[in-house]
Amino acid sequence: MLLLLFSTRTERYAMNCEHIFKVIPFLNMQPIPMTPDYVAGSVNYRGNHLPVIDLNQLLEGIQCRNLLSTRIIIIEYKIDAIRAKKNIGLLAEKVNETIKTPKNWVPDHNGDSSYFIDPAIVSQEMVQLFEPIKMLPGDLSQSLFMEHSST
Amino acid sequence: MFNSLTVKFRLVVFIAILLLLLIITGLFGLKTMRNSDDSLSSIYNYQVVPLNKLRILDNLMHINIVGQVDKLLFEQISWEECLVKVDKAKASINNGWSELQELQEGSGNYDTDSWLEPANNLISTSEDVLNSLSIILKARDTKRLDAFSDNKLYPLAEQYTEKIDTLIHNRLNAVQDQYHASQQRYSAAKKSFIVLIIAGVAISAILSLLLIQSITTPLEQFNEAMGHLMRGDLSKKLTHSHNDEFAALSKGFNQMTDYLAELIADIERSGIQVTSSITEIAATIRQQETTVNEQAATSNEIAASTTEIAATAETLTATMNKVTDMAHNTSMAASQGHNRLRNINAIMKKMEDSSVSILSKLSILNEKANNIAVVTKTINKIADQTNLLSLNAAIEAEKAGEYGTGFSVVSTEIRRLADQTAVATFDIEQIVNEVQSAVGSGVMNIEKFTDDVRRSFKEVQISSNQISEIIEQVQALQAPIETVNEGIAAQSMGAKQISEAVDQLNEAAQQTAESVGQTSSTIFLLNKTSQILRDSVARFNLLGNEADNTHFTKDDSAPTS
Repeated sequence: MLLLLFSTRTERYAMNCEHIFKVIPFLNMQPIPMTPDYVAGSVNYRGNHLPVIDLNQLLEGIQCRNLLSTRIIIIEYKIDAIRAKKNIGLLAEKVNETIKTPKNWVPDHNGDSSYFIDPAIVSQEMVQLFEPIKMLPGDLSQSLFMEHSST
Repeated sequence: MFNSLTVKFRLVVFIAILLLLLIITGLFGLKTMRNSDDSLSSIYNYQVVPLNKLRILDNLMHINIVGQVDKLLFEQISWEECLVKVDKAKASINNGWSELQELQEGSGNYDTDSWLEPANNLISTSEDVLNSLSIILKARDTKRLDAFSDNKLYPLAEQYTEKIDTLIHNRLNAVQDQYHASQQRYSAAKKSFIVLIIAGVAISAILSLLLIQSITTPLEQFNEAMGHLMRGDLSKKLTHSHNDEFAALSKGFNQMTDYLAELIADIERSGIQVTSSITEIAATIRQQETTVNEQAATSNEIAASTTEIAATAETLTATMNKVTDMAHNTSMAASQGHNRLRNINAIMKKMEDSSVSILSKLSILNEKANNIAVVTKTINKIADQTNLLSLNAAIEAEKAGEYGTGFSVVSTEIRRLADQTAVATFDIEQIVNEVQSAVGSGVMNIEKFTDDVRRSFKEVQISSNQISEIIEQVQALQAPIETVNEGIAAQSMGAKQISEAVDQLNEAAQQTAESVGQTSSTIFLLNKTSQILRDSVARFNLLGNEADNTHFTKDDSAPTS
């Protein structure tokens, strides 16, 4: 299993590459009105509207800085079984490393949304496993994409 | 009658009488003495001297004639020698007899009988015998001489001796008679002399008594008056009835008593005045004493003050000397500072120039650093892109599953390179940033420095001018400082002189105080003396009434110092 690492201000996170479509550099955002703070805005990705969520804001309440290593992770997001897959951008800092886990590695389950990886694996660092699908509240994504579809 | 005579006359008469008595007695004594002397000399001349002469004649007969003839007979001497000696002896015998004759004639008054008459016979006989002896001797007839000597000469010699002895005996008897006569005369004279002395003594005793009485009576009166005077009673007057020296003396005494009374009254008044004057003087002296003491205290204070002044002046002198030195040093230092400031001026100009050149070089450096930054940014972007690519490649390789394994390894390597590049460029970027910030701050510093230099340059110029002024002022200051120094030295000297003068003044004040004390004691003595004087005066009774004495005693409460 391949894990993509990223950081907030204080914590280091790992994300399963299974859902990642592509990693793109930081782009200028178009703000989306009537949305919570953690919605950074939308970018134009290959002629398509792509909503971006600021993970820093979401996890710790602080905006992401515009660094070289600040990148937008595009994941394929499936709202429900009926609808088609939708792409969504996750804005995070220090997105510049991947980790290859052993084949029979099972994350140590801790609660609903977070998994802790063995520190020995990620260069003696305590890393939290981030599950992007469970991350967003349903109504929010719905409203996001509803809006999106209306436009 | 006797008292009306003067004492002098009385004395003269008395002494004259005494002298007369003395002369009479003396004359009487002298006469008696002369009588006894006359009788004594007649005894010597007419009785004793003939005795000697008779003895000599006897010897002449025996030794010179009989002895010579014997010697001739025994042929011890020559005829001529014997003749000469016999002639000589014969002449001597004749001479002796004639002298005796003269003596007898001289004593005619004293000797009634001519004592030599019995010898007249012998004289003529011996003359004949001796004449015949000389004839025999001239004839040098030994036999005749022998017969002559046996028959005539030897009997003559014996007769001679016998006669002369008789004569001597007669003379001694005569002397005894005369002694008895003089004894009788002496007893008679003694009686009359005693009578005379007794009469003289009686007369002189009576006269003396009279005279002594006439002198002692007035003297006793005087003595009594003097006693009164000594007790201080001046009222007693002397009365003397007789018209002699004592009258004049008593008059004089009375006058003296009057004068003495006046004098004592004067002394009394003077004594009171003296006492009051002494009191005033004592008060004055006391004031003077306090004044002198105050003066002494004041002069002590002055002395202390002047000593302090002198000390202060000395300190000031020292300080002024230091000030002078410091002014001199300041002047020197200021001129040195002036020179240095000129150097600094030049150096600052150079610094300004060099800072400008540094600024230009720094701007060039900044430009270059900017260039480097641009390049590193580009490299960084490229590294970032490479990293992104490797990430996506890794994700794609994962999605590819078994087929993407090799590609996954390649993507990992690429990402490592990109990471290293990023790290290196990051380092470069850091360095460049540091350089740029350093250059910026350097530029700022240098600009600030240049500004400072410019400001300093101006300030240095101002300072230079000020230092020039200071030098002038300090150099100008030296003269007044010298003047002040001299003034202070003069002041110090003056203070010392004042101090000495005050010391002398102090000494004088002390001496004055001492003399005031002495004066005070003297006044005390004076007061005491005046007291004694008044006491002495108070003893005198001027007019004879006791009431007058009271006003003396009242003043005894006069103040004493």
